[in-house]
Amino acid sequence: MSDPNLPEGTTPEPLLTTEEGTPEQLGLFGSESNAPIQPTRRSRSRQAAIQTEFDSQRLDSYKSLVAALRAKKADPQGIAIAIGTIYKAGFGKATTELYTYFNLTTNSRAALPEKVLKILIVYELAAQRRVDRHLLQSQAQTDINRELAQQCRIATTIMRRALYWAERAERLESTSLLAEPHADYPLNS
Amino acid sequence: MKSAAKGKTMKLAALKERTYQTWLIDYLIDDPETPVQTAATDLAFKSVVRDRFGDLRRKSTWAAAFASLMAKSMYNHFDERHFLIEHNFIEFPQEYGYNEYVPQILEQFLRLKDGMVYIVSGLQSVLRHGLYETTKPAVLNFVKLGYQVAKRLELEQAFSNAMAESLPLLTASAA
Repeated sequence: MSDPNLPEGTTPEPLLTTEEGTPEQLGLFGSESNAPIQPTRRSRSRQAAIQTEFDSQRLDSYKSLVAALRAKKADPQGIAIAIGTIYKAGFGKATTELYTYFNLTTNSRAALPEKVLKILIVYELAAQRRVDRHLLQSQAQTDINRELAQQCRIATTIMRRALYWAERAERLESTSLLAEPHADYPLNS
Repeated sequence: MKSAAKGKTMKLAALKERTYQTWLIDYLIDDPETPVQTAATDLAFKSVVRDRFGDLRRKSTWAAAFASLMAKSMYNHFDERHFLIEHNFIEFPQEYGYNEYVPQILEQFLRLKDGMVYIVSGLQSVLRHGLYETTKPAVLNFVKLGYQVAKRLELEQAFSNAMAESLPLLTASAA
């Protein structure tokens, strides 16, 4: 992708090497407000709009998760431990399997079938709420971080179950989602 | 561990402890019951720092260890690139008093595989979705820092090109 404002074959100047010519002057930051841009309503006729909303939902989810962890007194290391636990035990490994199932490259989240992605988002939020419900008393920082990690392990169990249903929802559309997953299902551990 | 107020620098003891906690993250993710010691008492940790970064009596050793371990930790555990920029490169360093090490952390991060891609896509996401935690001047300063560090690594052309590719997106977001 090239800059349409530049003549063809022109190499753009490096950004921000001086005080002049900043992206701000180019109006690149949009609104003057620092408030997050609110997700817009999805237009079913535009795939880009769908992706934008899902992206926004995920960012909102992630923002809420980080805010919840910080509200529980997690420091940057604690947040790293909690999120690392989630991604390592759940989102990372299991979503990789999910993408593989749908023949997608990892992190091509917006390319997931819509209903699968919806389930994924719902359960990410469930995992987040599981952490958010956790109340802490005055403790040493390391205790707080370790406890958050344990809570996130529980949250990732929820996540594994979510991914099971995500797959079932795609493969067995007319089947009730209330049935239990098979005991030998790889994510059901 | 909130070792320093906003805008202040970490003392050596705090730097050691933060380095230790950063190193310990992978172990705590694997097993939350991993014994938590201190930078002074965990012999395995001290051995790693000594072998990889040098004399434990020098602050520069700990600064290098912290920057390297922090960059790797951020690379491994924050796959949401939007917040990699906002939280980990801008907000946390200011809040927890390690802003002075951000250039070193960023340099280490850019040396990692696809580190440049992570940084640039994070900046693109920040500009696409708006800011949650920080301010526009802070983001601008970070982009400036990114260019300076990339230049030090002789990656300034790649950095400029990558950011130039985001210009249409950023311009569109402002429309």
